[in-house]
Amino acid sequence: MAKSKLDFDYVIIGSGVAGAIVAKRLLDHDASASIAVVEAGKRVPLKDRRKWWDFVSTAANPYDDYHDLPIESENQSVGKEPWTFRESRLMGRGGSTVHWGGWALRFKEEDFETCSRTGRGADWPIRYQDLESYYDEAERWLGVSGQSRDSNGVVFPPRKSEYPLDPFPFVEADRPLIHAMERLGIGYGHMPIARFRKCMTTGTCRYCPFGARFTAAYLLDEIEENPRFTNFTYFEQSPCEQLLTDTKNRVHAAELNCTRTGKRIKIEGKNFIVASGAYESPKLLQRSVSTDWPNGIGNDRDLVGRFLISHPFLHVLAEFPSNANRWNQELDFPTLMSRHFDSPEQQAYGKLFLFKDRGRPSIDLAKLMIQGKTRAQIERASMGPMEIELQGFMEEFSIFENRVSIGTNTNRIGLPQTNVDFSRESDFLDRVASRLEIMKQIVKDTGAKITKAAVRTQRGDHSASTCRMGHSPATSVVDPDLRVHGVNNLWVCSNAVFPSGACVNPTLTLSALSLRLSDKLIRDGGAA
Amino acid sequence: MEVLWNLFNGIRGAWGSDACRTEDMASQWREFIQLKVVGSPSYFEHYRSACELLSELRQTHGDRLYQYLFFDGELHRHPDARLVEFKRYVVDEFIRVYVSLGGFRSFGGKNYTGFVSGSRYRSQRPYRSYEGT
Repeated sequence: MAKSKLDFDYVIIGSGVAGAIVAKRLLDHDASASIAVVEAGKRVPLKDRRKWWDFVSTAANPYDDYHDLPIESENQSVGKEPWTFRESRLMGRGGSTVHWGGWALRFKEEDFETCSRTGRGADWPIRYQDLESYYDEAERWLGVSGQSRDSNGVVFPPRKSEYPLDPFPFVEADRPLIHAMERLGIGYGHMPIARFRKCMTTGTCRYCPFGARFTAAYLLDEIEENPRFTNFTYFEQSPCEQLLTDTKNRVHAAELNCTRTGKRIKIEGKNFIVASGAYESPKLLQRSVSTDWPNGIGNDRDLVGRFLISHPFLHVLAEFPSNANRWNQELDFPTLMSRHFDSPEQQAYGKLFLFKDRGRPSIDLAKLMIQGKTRAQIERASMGPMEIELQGFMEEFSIFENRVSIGTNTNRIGLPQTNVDFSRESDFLDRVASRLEIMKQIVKDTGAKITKAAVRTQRGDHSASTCRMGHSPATSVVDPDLRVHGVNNLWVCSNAVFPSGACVNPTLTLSALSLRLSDKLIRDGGAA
Repeated sequence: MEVLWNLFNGIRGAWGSDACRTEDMASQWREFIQLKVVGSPSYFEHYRSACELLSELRQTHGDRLYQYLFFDGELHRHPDARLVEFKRYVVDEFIRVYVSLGGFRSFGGKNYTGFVSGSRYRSQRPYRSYEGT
């Protein structure tokens, strides 16, 4: 129903993949629904040929200005383990799907039972089977290419449908690792990638001139261009300052700070969905303080912001003495991956998801030419030593002490500073060492000489679990339907609700959860 | 435009082979120039200055002009700021565009960063693939 300009059926805080999917799904069901999507950041110019040429000719990234700055006034790492935000999220229309790699993997059945199986972290209150049909649908929304069976003919997790799009063939430079895995009996497969049919393999995936990589910004474009969706409003550059309650169990408004105009506005609504990622979602709840909620909405038990996890990034670098075939990666995304160690047997040590580095082997021909190297010198360089790197994400278990909270400063787009207090468990390095041994064995079998094997400094990509879901308010922030415990009309839809993070990229699972939440809202009429 | 196109062709002359032709790159190169001039920040002054410089340098270096520009001149550390800017904003960017538009083929490979190689649904794979070898 059309309402006053600042009163909505649904107020969605955040324009990333979760917010955009929920908005689109609700509007597809009821085109007249009044929906506000609130975004703190700006609009990245997409499919802009000039921006693309600049990217090709100068390496200037069109969205560098949308990342966190590497300064303490923006974000603070206060735990024992340094936590860096460098390019780990994108603050703008479409959120991190504007810069993501498009890797779209399902969690596996055992990922929903982490605590039961390992005694660590938390179980999900839902099962894989509860999400399976939503995974199918999410793959169609995102345009995912892939192949169900791995090289051993194993399909995991179980699925009734094939991928919507055929997989990208392996690049030729995958050959040494493929052969090594075959010799070692390790199953491998094609990386599922969210690319639409118009992928022209430009190798500039970080900025696609054709819009071939899925981004939530395109969903928002579709919504805004659809004349049927007359009651949709997009609030740009408007960080949400706080949510306001009129009774303890009901949010009635969101207070926005429009940084472009300097005005503060209040928008009212029947239903509020916080879809602001694993940092901003808990921070918004924490700062929405009232007499009913002195520690912030949903935070009576001091759980909001707790249990922060991400994926430790492991890598094994190796070198062949020569590159007789002049192999180059030739694509800007990996085609080879293995979920062989992403298995129930490995879960207690931290599951391991393996993939070949998307950037190696590589030779920057233009750079050599710019340096004044002759054709003969470049020929020699391109056939000289060749690097490959096997990389992996390791599963991490959540612990109470690791948390996100609000700092005293404000970042340049008007969001409060993020404090991350993060430390490792005592057996972390032992588990890393055992995972690296697996990786080194594979790389060694290629015949290449290993030059480095290490875990990288923790980055903020794939962060999750800061408003985790569960049945009980004593141990979780939201219920299995993602509704904040104790509040009838407030939901959180972000990686923040994941009770555990598996060892694969979270975006497809978040997309599936977003579709599931949308259906729940449609079925129940929200909080009505 | 012709002066700049000649410079672009000079890059092929210095590093190219029969595996790539600048004629095949012409339409995309023209788009690049047009967008660089029309869009923001505009490269109009960079290109105008480049034409003047090339004319001056041609008088000094004659047929060895491109040898000087690409290999001998060390333009990036030249005391003349105009030459440093010319190297950075024109020569270096042209080299990157040349390689991306197909110049990489002279050094092997079917695909490279920035090369628009077509839909993967074409029968011919647009990059060197494991299955295809």
